[in-house]
Amino acid sequence: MNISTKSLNSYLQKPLTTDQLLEAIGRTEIEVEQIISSKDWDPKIVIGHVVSLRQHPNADRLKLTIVDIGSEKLSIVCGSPNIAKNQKIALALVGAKLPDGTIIRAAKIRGEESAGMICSERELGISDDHSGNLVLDYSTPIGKTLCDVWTHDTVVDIKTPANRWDYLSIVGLAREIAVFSPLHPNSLKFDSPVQNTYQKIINTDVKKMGKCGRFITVKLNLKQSAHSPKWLVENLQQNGMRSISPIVDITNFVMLELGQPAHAYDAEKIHGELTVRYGSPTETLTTLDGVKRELNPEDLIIADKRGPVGLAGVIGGAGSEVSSQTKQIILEVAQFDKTVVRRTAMRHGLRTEASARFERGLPLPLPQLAADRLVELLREVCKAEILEFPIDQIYKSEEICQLGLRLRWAEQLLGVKLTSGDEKNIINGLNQLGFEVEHFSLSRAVQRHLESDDKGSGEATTAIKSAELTDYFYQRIGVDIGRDGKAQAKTGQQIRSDQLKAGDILLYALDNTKSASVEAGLYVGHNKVLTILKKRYNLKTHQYENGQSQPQLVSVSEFVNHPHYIGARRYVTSFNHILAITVPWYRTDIEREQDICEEIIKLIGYDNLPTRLPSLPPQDTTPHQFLTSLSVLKQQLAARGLFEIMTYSFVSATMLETVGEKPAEHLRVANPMSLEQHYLRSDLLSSFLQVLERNHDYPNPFAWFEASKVFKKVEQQKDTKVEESWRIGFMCVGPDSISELQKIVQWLGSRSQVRSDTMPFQGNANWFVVGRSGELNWDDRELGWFGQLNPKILPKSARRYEVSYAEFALDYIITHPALITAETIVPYQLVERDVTLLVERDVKWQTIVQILSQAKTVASFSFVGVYEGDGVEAGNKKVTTRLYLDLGPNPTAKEIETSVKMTTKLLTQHIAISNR
Amino acid sequence: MAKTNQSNGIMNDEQAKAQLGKAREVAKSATNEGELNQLKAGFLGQKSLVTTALRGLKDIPVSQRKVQGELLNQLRADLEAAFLLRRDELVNRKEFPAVDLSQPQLGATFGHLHPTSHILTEAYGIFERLGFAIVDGPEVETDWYNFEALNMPPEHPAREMQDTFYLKETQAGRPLIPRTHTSGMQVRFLEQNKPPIKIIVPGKVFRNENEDATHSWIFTQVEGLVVGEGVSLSDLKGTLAHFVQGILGADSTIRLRPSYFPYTEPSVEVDARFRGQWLELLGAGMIHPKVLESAGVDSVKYSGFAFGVGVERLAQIKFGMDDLRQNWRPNLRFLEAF
Repeated sequence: MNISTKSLNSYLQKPLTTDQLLEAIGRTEIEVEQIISSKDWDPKIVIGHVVSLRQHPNADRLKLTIVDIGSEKLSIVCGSPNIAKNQKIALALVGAKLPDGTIIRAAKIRGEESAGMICSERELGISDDHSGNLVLDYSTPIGKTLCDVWTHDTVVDIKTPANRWDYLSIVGLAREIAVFSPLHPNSLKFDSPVQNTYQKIINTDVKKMGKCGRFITVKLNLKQSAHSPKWLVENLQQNGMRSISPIVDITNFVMLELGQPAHAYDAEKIHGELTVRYGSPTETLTTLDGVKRELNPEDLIIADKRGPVGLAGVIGGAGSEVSSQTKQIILEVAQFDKTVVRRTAMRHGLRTEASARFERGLPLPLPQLAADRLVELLREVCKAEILEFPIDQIYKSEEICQLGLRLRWAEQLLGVKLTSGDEKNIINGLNQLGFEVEHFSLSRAVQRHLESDDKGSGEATTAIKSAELTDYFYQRIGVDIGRDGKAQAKTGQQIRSDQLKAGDILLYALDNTKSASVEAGLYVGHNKVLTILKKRYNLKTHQYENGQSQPQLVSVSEFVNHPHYIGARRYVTSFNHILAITVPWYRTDIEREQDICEEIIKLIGYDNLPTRLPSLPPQDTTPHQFLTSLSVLKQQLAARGLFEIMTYSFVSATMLETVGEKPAEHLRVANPMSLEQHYLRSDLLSSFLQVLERNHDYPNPFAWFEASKVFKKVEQQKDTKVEESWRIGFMCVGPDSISELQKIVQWLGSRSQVRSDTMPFQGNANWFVVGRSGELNWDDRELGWFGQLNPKILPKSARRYEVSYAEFALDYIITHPALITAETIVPYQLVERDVTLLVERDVKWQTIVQILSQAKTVASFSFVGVYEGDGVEAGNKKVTTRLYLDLGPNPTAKEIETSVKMTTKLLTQHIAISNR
Repeated sequence: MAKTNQSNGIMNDEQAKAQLGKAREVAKSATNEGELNQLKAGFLGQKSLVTTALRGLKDIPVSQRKVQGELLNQLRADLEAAFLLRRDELVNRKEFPAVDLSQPQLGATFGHLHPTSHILTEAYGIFERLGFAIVDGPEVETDWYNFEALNMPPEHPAREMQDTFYLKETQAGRPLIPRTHTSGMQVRFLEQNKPPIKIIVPGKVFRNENEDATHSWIFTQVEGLVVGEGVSLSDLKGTLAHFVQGILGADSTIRLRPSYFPYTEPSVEVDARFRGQWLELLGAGMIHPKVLESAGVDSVKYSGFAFGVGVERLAQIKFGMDDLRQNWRPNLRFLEAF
C-alpha cells in the first residue's frame, strides 16, 4: 500500500521527518517495501486542458483530443479509456523525457498527428496504475509544468500483516506510529465526526442476512457535485488513487482514512429496499468494471427489488453507478464476513481495495464511525442533506475483549525482568494505543459488582448464573476455570474450608443427582461469598427459597453447610501483579495474553531483550541419526571426487515418458504453474538425464550424486497412500563409466561391511545396455539398480559418451555402518598363492566368491585380474585370484600344495574349464 | 698452540670449513655408490679426522669442550649430508626423475558439495553442539499438519499467503499438500515426544509461485522447535544469534522486528547484519498456545519457540549467489566453486 508521508503527518500531533517516520515504523510489524521520493519531472511535461474530444476515425480504442496548454492548442491522439472533455491532464510535449527514459516524439498514429502524449500515473512513475490517464484537479492552472503544481511529497510503499485491519487505514497507522514516534509525547490527531441518529434495527436472525454483521444505509440529497476540491484530489493522488467524481472520491478518502469501504448508489436507479442475500446461479450482474458476471450461490450480494446491484464487499454494479447527473444517493456502509468476501473476490478474480479491507475482518463499530464521517464530508463538499432517517441494521453484537496479564508470567515468556519503570512505560504505551489498563484488585472488582444495577452498568459482566460470575473474575485475569460449576469443580486445587483465602471459589450441587447443576461463589474474605443465587437454601427448613438475580454477598456457611457442598478450589496463588486490560474495539488482533506480550516487547524494544540459550537438557539423538549420517556420506562422496547436485522433485509427463514411465502411475500436482511440475518423481533418472543434457559440454570424465526423496502412489480401495522414500542416485559420464560406477558401488559396500550380491536387472528393458546392468542386494535386501545407460535414452547431445547410472534406497546404506565389528588377525603369516582359472566369459566374480567362501583352508582371497585375448578362446576368459591360506605357523611345502590343489579342485568342479 | 691443538685432534672453524669443502669435491668425483661409500669412509670412518677429533674431546679442558663439541658435531652432520646428496644424485635420480609438482594432473577428480549441503552441514554442527536432535519429516503433508494444526483453519487467509500446491490425490478425503513449510513437523513431533524438546527439522518445501532470481518454487528450510518449561523469547533471540553467527561469522549480528504468523505469538522477523548490510533472514516466534494444544501439549505448563529459515537464502547471502534457481538447475561449472 502506498501512503504519502504528508497525509500521514496530517494525522499526527507532531509531524515527523521521513527518517523519523521510518524509525517509528521500524518498531512495528509494518514493513517498508520501498520509499518513493518526490518527482522531478522534465519541464516539458505540462498541464493541459482537454477542450475537445472525438473518436479516432481509424481506431476504435483511440480518441482525438485538442489540448489547451495556454500558449497553444495541440492535437493529441489518446488511447486512455478514462479521457474526458474538460479534464486537466499531464501532457508530455515533443522532446519530453519520461522517468523511465522514454523520449516523446511527434508521431502520426493511424493517420492522425499527435504532438505529445497524455500520461498515466505509471508513465509518470507515480504509481503502478496504467488503467487510464492521470486526472488533475479541475482548478489546476494550464500551461504550468507538472513539477510546479504537483505537491512534492515522499510516498512509502508498506506491507502490513494480515491480522491488522487497522493498518489499512491512515488513522490506524498514525495511531501506532505516534506511540513509537521518536518525538514524544505524540498522538493521533483525528476529530471524531458529528454523530448522526440512526434507526437501529437489531436483528438476531443472522441466517436471514447470511454473513453480514452490520448494514447501514443513508439516503442523501446532493446540491452540488461538479468537481472534487483540490485537497481531496491531491490527497487521493498522493496515496495512489485517482480522482473520479466527488462522491466516489469521498468514499475512497474515507476508506483510506478509516479503513472502511463504502458504496454510493444512485438513488434513482435503486428500486425498493436494499437487502443482503446470496446470489442465485440464474442471476447476472454487470459490475463497475464493465464485466457481466454470473453469480454463484455462495456470492454474498446486495440486491434491490429488481435484482443484484453489487457484490458485497467487492464491487458495485454498473446499473446503479453514480454519475455527474446524480441528485440523490444511497450510501451503504457495512460489515461483511471476511471469508465470504475473500472467496467471492477470488471466485470472480477481482481483488479490490474494498475486498482487501473486508478480508482482514472489520470490527462492528467501524461502519457507524465511517458513515458519520462520510456524511460530514458529503455535507462539506456536495452540500448534502440527509433525506430519510439513516437505517442501521445490526446482526451481530459487539464483544468487548477483556484480558488479564500476569506480569510475572509475561516476564517468563519474554525472558526479561520488568522494572517498575518498564511497567510504567508499558501501561502508558498501552493507554496510548487505546487499551484501558489497571492493576487488578479483587476487592475493587467485587465492589463494582455490588454497585451494578439492573441496567448492567457498573462492572461489565453479563453473568446471570453464579458460575458465570466466578468465571468472570478469572477471565479478567486470563485464567480459564470453566464456564460452569461442574467444570470449576474439576480445575484448580482443593482447599480446606478452614484455609479459605480471598479469590477461592466455593461450590455446591443443587441436589445429589449426577446431573445436578452446581452453584459457585467467590470467597471475598471475612466469611463472605459473592454469588448470584436465584434460589437460596434455607439451612433451617432444608428448603430452597427465592433468591435474587443480582450479585450479592452471602455468608460462607450458606455454601459450607449446604448438604451437597462440593468444596473450595484455588486456581491461582496470587492476585498480585496482574494487569486487567480492556482491548479497544479497533484492535481485533488481540485475543489473549500472548498478544499483549507482543505489545509489551514492542514497547520495551526488541534490542532490550536479553540473549539467552534455553536451559533444557540435550535431546536424545539416538532415533534421529539419519540426516547427520547422510551429511557424512555426502562429504565422503565429495571427497571421492563426485559433484553433489539437487534437482526439482516434480517432473513433466514428457520427462517421465522419455524414460518409459507412465505418468498415470505417479502422484500428480492438481494446480501446477507449469507442465514442468506436473508429477512427483518416483526415481531420479529423468531428472538426471535433464542435468546431463544441460552439462553435456562439461569436460568428462565426471560423476555426480543426488540424495532426495521420491514418491510412490499406492492405491488402497479408492484412497491414496503416499510412500516417500530416500534414494541416492549416481551418474558417471566418460570412458569406461561403468567401471567408475562400480568403484563407487563397491566402496559403498565396503563402507557398510555387507554381503553384496548383484542380480539380473528386472526393470525397464530400455534403460541399460544388455549385459551391463544389475540389481544390487545387500544381505538379501533389495537396494536398487545400476548399469550403463542405453544410448537410446540419452539426450542427443550426450549420446557420444558412455553414461552409467545407479540408484539405491538410502535408508539401509545410512543405517548400516553401525554394525562394524573388528576381525582377529592371526599371529603368523598366511600363505599367498595366485591361481588362474580358465572360465566361460559370463562366469561372474560373485560365483567365484560363493565357491571360495566354502573352501576350507582359504582364509581370504582377492581379485587380481581378468584376461581375454591371445591364447584364450573367444567366449572364455582367464581369472586370476590371490588366495590367502591359513595353514598354521610354518606349513610344509606339501601342506601348501595340497591346500591349493583342494581349492582349485573345488573351483573346477563348479565353474572352471581348467586351471592355467 | 695450533700445533698442539691438532695433535689433540681439535680443530678451528676454518679447518672445519676446509674439511667440508674437500669432502664435497671428493664426493663429486665418485661415479657409483660403491666408490662413494669408500670415499665417505675417508671422511667419516673410524680413522677419519672428525671421528678422531670427537674421540679426543674428553682430553681437552672442560672450558673448550662445549664449543669444540658443537663444531665437530655440526661438521659430522654436514659431511653426512654432502655424501647423502651425492648418493641421491647417483642413485635415486635415475630411478625417480624429478617431477613438476605444480603441474595439474589430468584425470584427477575434485568433488563438490552442493551449497545447500555446505550450509546444512554447518547448521547441523551448530545445533548438535547446542543439544538439538536433527529430525526428518514427510515432504507430502495432510492439510491438518500443514495448516489446520498450526492455527490456520480452512478459511484462514494465511493459507493463500503461502501459495500452495495440492495433489490431485487425497488421503481419507483430506487434501494432500507438498508441504509449504517444515512447520508441520512441530505438531507431528510434539504428538510423539514429551517436552522438553529441542530439534531442528531440515527439508524441502514447495511454494506455488513464479520463479525468479530470488524465489524458487522449491527450497530447503530448517525448522527449529524448542518446547519446555520456561522457554522464553530471549532464549529464541540467543539461539538465533548463536546460529547466525555460526553461519555468517562472529561479527554478524541479528535484529528482531515484530511480525505476524498465525502459528506464533509473539512473532518476529529476524534480520542479520552481514558485511555492513541488514538482510531479511527468517521468521520466528513463541509457539501459539493453539498449536501446542493441537498437539496435545499443556500450553499452561509449557512454552516454546519455533523458527523457519531458508537454507538457500543463507547460502545466497554467505556465498554471494546471484540467482537462487542455480541451486536446482545444476550447472557443474557453477558448482565447481563449492
